[in-house]
Parts: sequence; C-alpha cells; structure tokens
Amino acid sequence: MLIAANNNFLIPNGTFIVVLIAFILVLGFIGRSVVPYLNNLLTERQEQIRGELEAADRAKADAEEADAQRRAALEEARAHAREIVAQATLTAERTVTQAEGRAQEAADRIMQAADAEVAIARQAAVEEVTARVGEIVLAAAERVVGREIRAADHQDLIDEAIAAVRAETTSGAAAGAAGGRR
Amino acid sequence: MAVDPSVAGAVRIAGAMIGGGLALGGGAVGAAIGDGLAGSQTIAGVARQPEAQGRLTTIMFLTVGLAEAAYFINLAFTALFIFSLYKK
Amino acid sequence: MIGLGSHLLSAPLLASDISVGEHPQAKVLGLTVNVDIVWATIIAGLVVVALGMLLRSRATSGVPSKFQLLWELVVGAVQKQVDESIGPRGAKVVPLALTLFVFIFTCNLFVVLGIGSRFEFLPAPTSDINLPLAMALYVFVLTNAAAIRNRGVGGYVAHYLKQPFSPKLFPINLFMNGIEEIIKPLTLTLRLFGNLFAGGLMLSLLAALVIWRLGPVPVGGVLAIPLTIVWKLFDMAIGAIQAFIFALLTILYFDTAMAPEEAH
Repeated sequence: MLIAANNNFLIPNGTFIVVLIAFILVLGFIGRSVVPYLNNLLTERQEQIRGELEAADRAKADAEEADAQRRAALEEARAHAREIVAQATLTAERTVTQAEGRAQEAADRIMQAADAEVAIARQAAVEEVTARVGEIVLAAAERVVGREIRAADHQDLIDEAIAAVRAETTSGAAAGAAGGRR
Repeated sequence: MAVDPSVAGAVRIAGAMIGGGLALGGGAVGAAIGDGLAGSQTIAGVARQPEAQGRLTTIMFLTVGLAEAAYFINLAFTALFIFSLYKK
Repeated sequence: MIGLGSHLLSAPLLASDISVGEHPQAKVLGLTVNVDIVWATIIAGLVVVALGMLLRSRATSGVPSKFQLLWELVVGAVQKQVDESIGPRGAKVVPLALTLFVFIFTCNLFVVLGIGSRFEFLPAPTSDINLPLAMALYVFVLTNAAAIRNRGVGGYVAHYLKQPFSPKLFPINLFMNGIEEIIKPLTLTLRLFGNLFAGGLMLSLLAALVIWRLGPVPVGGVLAIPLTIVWKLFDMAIGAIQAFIFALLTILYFDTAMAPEEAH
C-alpha cells in the first residue's frame, strides 16, 4: 500500500476537531468581547473629540465676541474723542469769530466817534469861518473901496456869499466823511 | 513474477523524485511568471501614477502572495512525494 | 536531529533521511490527534485571548497606548476592507475576518521557534493541514449559509444552475460552479498550509546542511545559522501576508455570497 493514511500529511485526522473547537472559542472571544469593546471605545473617543471640538468652537466664538466688544468700545472712544476735538475746534472758532466781531465793533465805534469829532470840529470851524467871513470880506472891501461900507446895505450879498460857503463846506464835509469811513 | 524488493524501492524513489521535481519545477515556473507579471504591472502603474505607489505596492504584495501560494502548494505536494509517500 | 547521525563526511543527503509532516500522535476517543499541533493551537489561542484581555484591561477612550493603537489599527483595517468590499451588510464578517487574521498571524509567528528537527517543540499550528482545513471549512460553511440566507434556498440552487451559461446548459453550470465552490476552501487550506509547511521544510533542509563538512571544517554548520535567520525573517513576512490573504479572501467570499443576484 503506497499511501498510508498516517504517512500522508495532507490527510486530516482527529486534530481537526480539536483545533476547530479551539478556533471557534477564540472567534467567540474576539467576536463577543474584543470587537464590540473596541467599537464602543472608538465611538466614545469620537464623542469625546466632538465634544472637545465643540468646546473649542465655543471658546473661539467667545473670544471673537470679546474681541468685537473691545473693538466696538475702542471705536466708540475714538468717536467720542473726535467729537470732543470737533467741539473744541468749533468753540475756538466761535470765540475767534466773536473776538473778531467785537474788535471790529470797537474799531467801528472808535472810527465813528472819530468821524463825529471830525465833523463837529469841521462844523465848528465852518461856523467860525462863516462868522468871520462877513467881517473879513467887509474889511477887505472897505480897504479896497476906501470907505466904510454899511453892512446893512449889503446884507443880501453877504448872506448869499455865506450860503455859498456853507454849501461848499457842507458838501466838502460830506465827501470827507464818506472818504474817512472807507 | 516477483520484483526484486530493492529494485522496487529504487523505482519508487525515482518516481517520487521525478514527480516531485516536475511539480516543483512547474509550480516555480507558474509562480515566477505570476510574480513577474505582478511586478511589471506594478512598475507600469507607478510610472504612470507615482502617487499611487503605496497602494499599488500593497496590492502587489497581495498578488505575489497569491501567486507564490500556488508554488508553495506544489512544494507541499513535492514534499509529500519525496519525503513521505513512497515510504511504506 | 534528522536521523543523520550515521552519515558523516560528505554523506549523500537522502530523501529518506528527512522526515516532514510527522507529529507525535495520541489516540483520544478513537481519534488520532497530533499532540504538538493541539498544544501549539491552544497556546496560540491563549496568546490571542491574552492580548484581548490585555486590551480590555488597559484600553481607555482617552489617549490610547501603542498596544491599543495596534489593535485599533488592525480592527480598523479589517472594518475598512469589509466596508469597501461588502458594505454595511458585512458588519457580521468583521469579527471572523479579524480573528482569522490575528489568530493565523499568531500561529505563523511560531515558525520563529522552529529548529528544523523532526518533532518541533512548538510547531506553527498552521503548518499542519488540520487547522487551515478547519478554518477554511468553517468559512466555507458560513459563506454558504450566508448565501442561502441572502438568496433563499431556491435562489441558492438557481445560482448554481443559471450562470455563467444559459439555464439550458445547467449541468455544465452546475459542474463549473460546483468545482469553483469546492476549490475555494481547498485553495484556502492548501495556500496557508503549503506556505507554513514549506517554512518548516526549509528549516529541516537548512538543519540537514549541518552534516556538510570539508574535513574538520563544519561549512554547513556555519552556513546554516545565517541562512536560518534570513529564512525565518522571510517566513515571518510570508506568515503575515498569508494571514492577510486568508482574511481578505474570506471577506471576498462573503462578498460573493452576500451580493445581490443582479450582480452576476
């Protein structure tokens, strides 16, 4: 007999049953305890990681919010400062304008006073001149004519001359006042 | 006609050796062709897509394992022929 | 070691001198049992269970330790693969695929302990046909159960008869689908077994190298040590890949079984 059963290692024997049972036992252990256990573990870890990621997201959102608040506060402060500066500038300008106005007023008043004084002085001068013009003219005329001229006789003439002088000075004073005001 | 036992034993050894050698040689030829094909195709694939090298290498080793398996099966049969079967 | 004691200087290495696939056996309840494989399987199972217990005792939902991260990485990779292949319906496949990967990987790591002797102290349980076959048949039964649950008994039978050719050719369809369905657990078994078995065989051959001497110089003995180290590193990588492939193919088979009928 060529092929002896116990000589051919390709023919299984009773070991088959024993190792099959051993294998199924190992399979049972792995299938019942290891795989579900590891899966639970992995699920748990995924949950944990998700939780951590969410926490990180939340922290990030908080930080962003705080940053936004800080920015807003800063912006507000800046706006406030700008407003204050603008107010100050405005006040300063107004003060300057008021001061200028007041100065102008004072100058104007002084000028007017000066004008009035000038006019009064001129008037006085004119009065004086008019008062004396008649006499001077009469004196001059007496000397020219060589005799006394009665003023009464020529009152009309004198009055006319005086009126002419007065008219002339008045118009000249008006022109002078206009020139001085300018 | 009875055969001389020593002649019969020699014939058995010779037959086992020849049979085992044929099995081994045939298996080696097949496995070598298979390995060569797997390797050449892997090289071609890597040349075309160098970034796929990792995956292709894994698949190549898998294929080589499968191709080599035929040879090792033959080797087992050879061992059966030349080491075991002809012994009474 | 390998029954080579009588062969000394430049002795021809005879096939009859290397024994592979042999195990100390015992009769239990009339069944022949490979004692070392049983012990190794139980120890591998205990290691996996201990890793799970350690995870449960240490794990937190807070900052995970490296150990916990490793578990999460593996479970996450399996879940991603299942999601991409099957979709949300496949959630029940996750523990099976995870157990297959972790358990097979742990078993495959036992190759590190091998020294290439006739009986290993703790051989990789997957280097014996029984454990791969047990797992592959378990997957086979579960995938077919899932297919029946998915399509109903009628749909399940019709699935074998109606494609890939027209239903008139149903004997051919049945033959092809039957072969395909039987081949699946068979290749699943032999792929894993063959790889791990070849690892042990290679260790045996490397150990047999020890008898190669040139006069007083133990050339083989010196060579065997680095070669064994390199081979063990390679074998661990193979073990990882094969564990991955076993789990991946399981997922893909479930995908085929759970896919809606229109997909075919």
